[in-house]
Amino acid sequence: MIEMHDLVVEYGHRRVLCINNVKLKKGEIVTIIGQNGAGKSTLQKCLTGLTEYKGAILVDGKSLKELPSRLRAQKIVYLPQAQSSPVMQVATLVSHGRFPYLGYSHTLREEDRRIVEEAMKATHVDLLKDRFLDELSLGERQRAFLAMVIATESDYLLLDEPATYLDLMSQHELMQILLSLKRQGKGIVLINHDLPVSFSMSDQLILLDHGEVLQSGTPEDFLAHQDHLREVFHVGMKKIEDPHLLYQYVIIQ
Amino acid sequence: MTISLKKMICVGLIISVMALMISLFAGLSFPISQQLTFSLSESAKTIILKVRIPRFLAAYFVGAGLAIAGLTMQSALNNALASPSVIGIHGGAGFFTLLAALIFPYYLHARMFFAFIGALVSALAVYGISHQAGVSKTTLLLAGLAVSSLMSGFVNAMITFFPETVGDKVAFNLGGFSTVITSQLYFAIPVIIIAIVILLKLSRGIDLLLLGDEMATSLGINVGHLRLGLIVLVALLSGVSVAISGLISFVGLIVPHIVRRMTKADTKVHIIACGLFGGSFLVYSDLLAKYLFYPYELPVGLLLSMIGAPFFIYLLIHKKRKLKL
Repeated sequence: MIEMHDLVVEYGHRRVLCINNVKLKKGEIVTIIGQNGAGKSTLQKCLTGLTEYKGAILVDGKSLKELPSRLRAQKIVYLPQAQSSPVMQVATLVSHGRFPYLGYSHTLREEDRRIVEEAMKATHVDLLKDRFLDELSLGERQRAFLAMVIATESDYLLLDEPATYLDLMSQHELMQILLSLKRQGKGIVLINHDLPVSFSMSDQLILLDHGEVLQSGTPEDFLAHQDHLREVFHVGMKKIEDPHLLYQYVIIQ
Repeated sequence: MTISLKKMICVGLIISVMALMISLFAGLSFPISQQLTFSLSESAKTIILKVRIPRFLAAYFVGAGLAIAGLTMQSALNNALASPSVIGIHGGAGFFTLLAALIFPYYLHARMFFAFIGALVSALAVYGISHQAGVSKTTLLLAGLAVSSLMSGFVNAMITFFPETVGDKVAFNLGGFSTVITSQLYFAIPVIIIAIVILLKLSRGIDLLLLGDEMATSLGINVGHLRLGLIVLVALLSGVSVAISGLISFVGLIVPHIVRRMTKADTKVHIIACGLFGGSFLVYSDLLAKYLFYPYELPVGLLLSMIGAPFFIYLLIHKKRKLKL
């Protein structure tokens, strides 16, 4: 479990994040929702060691600040929103997911190769493994990066808007992959602007506004108390029990 | 166009060996049969052992070092225009080498040490300035330009106050291998080899830097430390090279570009290729400089400036999209 206590992030004199008593568990999908600039990416970056913060973050009981960076990477991995596309083969990219275990010098062992193969199969990029990243479509590249993140075998996956640039079916495929990772016991922390998808997929939602948690709970909790949702997004949500719907939650005025 | 790794290493080794053969035996006035059976006259042996082998080794290792330094700079700073000369490292090495010539005129090894310090000081200054100004490709180039100009200013100040250093400065600026001293190589070549070996060990980290700082940090790399380490190694390679041969520009820019277009591969492969092709490239350039206007020798730095500048312009005009300027 990841616990955040009295977490404060300031850029100069501007306070961008101020949250307390937020818990992220393994085997759950937590989606952070909110307007642009609410502090969603900042929260993920704190967990990755990319942002200075005050307060305490505990990962499975241990302080995050005391974890050496490779050990932290074995527990938490972050996929930023914007990715570069260097001239690199898919298989090479995915194998870099093993860096937290191999470091600079060690070569891939049999077990690492197996993990890399399985990660590529999980996101259906195994047939693309010899292709170069700059030759792939955006969706294929996204899946390649996701395979790399899966190859880290980290307990917690932080994904910043992973479905950007993906078409509808690719988005749906991505969500199925995340559900399967959740069932394997991974903790998944997503940032997603798509409310119906977020509501349908998540076990927990955290609504951030101006760096503070306005509301957190299950999608059902949010359905029951929509004031904060309406305050931030100026829309509401409704659940429609219809097996033909791809996502059971819809936006209403 | 891509070439497989094995082919590339074969080609690299073949052209390196050819470079060696031409360096050692070209132009010597004795019959081919003597060359092939290695039954050379004493004078020929002396020329080969005392002049040509050191010159070949100096050119080869400086070429390899500069090409690899250029490749590392381009990867570490994610900027295809980065090279030790463009971002001010050479300027710093140059100034400090002249300082060494002034303060310790009879102690030649001081120049190598000072060149390294100079290269390191400029590299850290460029890195520091661009860090403060917001690290981007433009700030890096502008900081490099600023530091280069500053060092140039110091050099001019020095030759104004100490006119006896002019000779050193001119020879240094033109860059060449005609005055290579073997004792310098005993120190320089092992240093270059060690720096290259360390860079090969860090090559996986360099690959991860290409994924972006956030992704690299996420995977457990300390991006700041790695970049600093790479800059120190590049300063070492550049400093040592500059101390041996003076200012030789464009090798660090041209060779990595050619290598990257020849083979899409990871950094480790590129480093090896840059070593083989960079070394050969500079040897061939030196041979061309030596024989183009025979018996007058052009300094190879001058020749490379004449080739390098048009190449640089070509890159800017035709490859702007790929350079991600």
